[in-house]
Amino acid sequence: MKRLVAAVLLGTTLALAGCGERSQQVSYSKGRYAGKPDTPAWAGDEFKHSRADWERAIKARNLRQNEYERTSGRGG
Amino acid sequence: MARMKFICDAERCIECNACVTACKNEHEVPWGVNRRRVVTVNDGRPGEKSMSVACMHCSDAPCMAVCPVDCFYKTEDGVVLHDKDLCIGCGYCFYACPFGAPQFPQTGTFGMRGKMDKCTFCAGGPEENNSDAEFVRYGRNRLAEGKLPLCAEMCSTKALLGGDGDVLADILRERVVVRGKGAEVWGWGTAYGKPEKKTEEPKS
Repeated sequence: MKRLVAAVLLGTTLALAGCGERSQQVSYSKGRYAGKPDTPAWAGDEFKHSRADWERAIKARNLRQNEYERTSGRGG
Repeated sequence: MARMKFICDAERCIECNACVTACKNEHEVPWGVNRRRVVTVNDGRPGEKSMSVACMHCSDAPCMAVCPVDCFYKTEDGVVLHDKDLCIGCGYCFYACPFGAPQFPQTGTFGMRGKMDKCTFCAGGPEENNSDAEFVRYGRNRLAEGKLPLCAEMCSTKALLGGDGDVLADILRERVVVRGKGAEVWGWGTAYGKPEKKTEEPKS
C-alpha cells in the first residue's frame, strides 16, 4: 500500500511538473539597456582585470598611428 | 579613460577600400552587409575626396534613442554596441543614423530583414570576450586583445585613425600644422567640447 501511495505521489508530482509555465516576458525598463551585461575589454586572460595595463597597451598602439613619431625618431 | 572614435582624413584617403576588405575579412561579415564603406564625392572631377565611413560611435547616439527594445549600450570607453538577442530588426536605427551604419542581412526569400549588424569598433558584443558565440554574432574582439580596430591600424596612408579621440585629435593637429591648412577641423575636442568623464592617466 505504501509503495502504491509513494508511486501515485511521485507520478502526480512528475505529471504536474510538466504543466509548469514560465513567464516569457523580458524584464523591461523603458529607456535603459535591456540586454545582457558585457564584460570589459580588460577582463580577459590577456590583461587579467588590469585596466591600467589595458589602457597602456591601447595608448601605445594609438600613438603608433602617428607616422611623424615613427619616422622622426622621437619614439612611439 | 579613453573615448573611442574614428577620424578619416579626407586629404589622405586614396579610396583603396582596404579598410572595407579588412573589416569584412576580420569579422567574416556575411554577404550584403558592409560595416564599413568608402564614400567618394565629386568622383572623377577636380577636388575629388574620399572618406571611409562606418559607425562613428556617437557621443549622443540617435540609434540608442530610437531603439524600441533598448538593445543598445555604450561601453565605458564610448563604444556603441548592441545585443543581437534582443534586436527585432525593425530598422529604426537605420533611419536615425546619419552615417547609414546599421546594416541588415537579408534572411528570407522575400527580403526579410535579419538582426541589425554594425561596426563594433572591433570590441565584440555582450558575450564572453573572444568566445565563439561572440565571434559568430559580432566578430573578433580586438580591444580585448589590446589592439585597435583593424581598418584603422592597417590603413596604408594612415587616413583612417581609430582610438582615443584626444590622441587622434593631437595626431590630426600635427598634420594640419605640417601641411598648413585645415585648421577648421582640429579634432573632437573642438567639435564636441570637453570629454564626458575625467581622463585618468594609467599608472606606470
